[in-house]
Amino acid sequence: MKSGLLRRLSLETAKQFAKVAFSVLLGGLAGATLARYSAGFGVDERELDARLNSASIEAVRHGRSEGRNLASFYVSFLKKASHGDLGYSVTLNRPINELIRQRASLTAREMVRGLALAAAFAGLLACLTRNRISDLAKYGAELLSGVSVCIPAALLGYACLLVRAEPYWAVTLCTFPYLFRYLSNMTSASARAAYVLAARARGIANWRLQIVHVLFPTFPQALALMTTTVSIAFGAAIPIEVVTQTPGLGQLAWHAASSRDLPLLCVVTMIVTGLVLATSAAHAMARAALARPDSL
Amino acid sequence: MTRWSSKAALLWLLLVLAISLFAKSLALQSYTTITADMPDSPPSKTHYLGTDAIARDRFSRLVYGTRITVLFAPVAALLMTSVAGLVGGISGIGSRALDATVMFICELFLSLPWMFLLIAARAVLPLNADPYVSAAVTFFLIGLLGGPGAARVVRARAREWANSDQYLFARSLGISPLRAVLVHLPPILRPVLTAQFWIALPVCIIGEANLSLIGLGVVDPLPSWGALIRECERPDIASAPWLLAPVFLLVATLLSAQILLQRNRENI
Repeated sequence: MKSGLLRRLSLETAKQFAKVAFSVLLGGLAGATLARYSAGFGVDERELDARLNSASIEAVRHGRSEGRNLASFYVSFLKKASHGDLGYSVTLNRPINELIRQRASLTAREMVRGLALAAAFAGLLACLTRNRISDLAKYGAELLSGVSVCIPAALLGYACLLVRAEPYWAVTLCTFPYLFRYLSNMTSASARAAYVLAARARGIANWRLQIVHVLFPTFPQALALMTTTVSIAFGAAIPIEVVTQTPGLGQLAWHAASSRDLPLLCVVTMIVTGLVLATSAAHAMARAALARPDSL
Repeated sequence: MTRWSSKAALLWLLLVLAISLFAKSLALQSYTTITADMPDSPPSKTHYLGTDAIARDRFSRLVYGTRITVLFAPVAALLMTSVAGLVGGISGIGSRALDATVMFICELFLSLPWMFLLIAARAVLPLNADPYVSAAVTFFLIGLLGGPGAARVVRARAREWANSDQYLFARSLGISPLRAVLVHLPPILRPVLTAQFWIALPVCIIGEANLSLIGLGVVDPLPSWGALIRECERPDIASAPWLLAPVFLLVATLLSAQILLQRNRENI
């Protein structure tokens, strides 16, 4: 029994690892290709600087010509990356390692806080709505969910600036509608289960019924839902960080794309692909671990 | 969802459509016309929503912006649905190897946040293009890149049909696979594609608004809801609430579309 579970888990882990690694490499190549063939690639404003002599301009040109051959650029980039050197961002004039280290923690904090708050609000409101404890909460939650899905993330960023709130509130509002809708459906489905009806018939207290028999069984699904929301949260973080001028990964992604910074765009694409796929791989592995052998 | 709310939603959407169709008659002047009045003036009898930073009439720009957004977004949604239909259809009726390859590519697209993909793809194109070209490119990219998500739904329906008795019966009657796909499959996929179109429509509007808000969408002087919302970044927005008019239009339209979608789902 145990060896079967271990075998299943190791197989799933290997499969997911290979998938993530292949996708990350492909994502990096796609990002590099986009940047390489974009209009304005290889143009450096320093070439127009009248203070530079011809040798300096030639050096600038030589520095920018590194990525002209896409295949050789990508191979040398991967070689360096395997030794921990992610390259140098010409547009930000800093090593990419340093940029990522500084900005990743900020975005991670923003996403974790935003997602945690959204999940807490969505869970609470889903319970209140389902139990019809308060009509105000029901209509309020539905209105909030309906309206926040209609507001562009960048506009929520502006709202944060206006009320001087932290940007993670905007991430919360962007992810709340998805979490609320799914959590409402999950708790409703859980409440309709036969064992809940049986527990109710046995006279179990309502609060216990709601927490132990309705809410707890939805936890694995809720966690799976959280992994899929990571992509939405990061997608929302890009415009939010741009408008709130938060120096995070989202702003870096926007900068890399708009300034055609080839090595930076490569790294950011790989990180984003890796992050999103790693969360969905964790979800798939957890499902494999929890699944009963006969259901596989 | 009450009956009156869906009626109100439908009425609102018809009103917005009417504004976009009769923009030329409704607007007080062209969206590029710079008036002799003071720039950034508050609402008055001659300028219902005041003038912007370079003295252009805000109301006229809002009317023309509604036209751009409301007429371009359905085209992008149609493109998104077509891409989903084509990719999902091919994957659903194709061999297992083709299905696995196409679905892996779709998954790769889905693994990257949509906004990141849009920014990367939009940045590839020249930013100093003609305003109409930039608007077309923005909506084209939104339509193209949004397809893979919906393709999975279409693929599931197409595969279900390919494994059904209906297809087997058609084949046993001597109908060629090509004829079966061209004649029998489209009616099967129509309900899924129609639903995907209505889901895609708000996605396209909100995608354009986000791109325009960070300076990669529709460019000046062409107005769109997203481009007009950029004015809301002013710190004194609380003292100039008329600047929120495009926000109100955007939210009310998307909310109406959502109410109708919900109503449609309940009816089904």
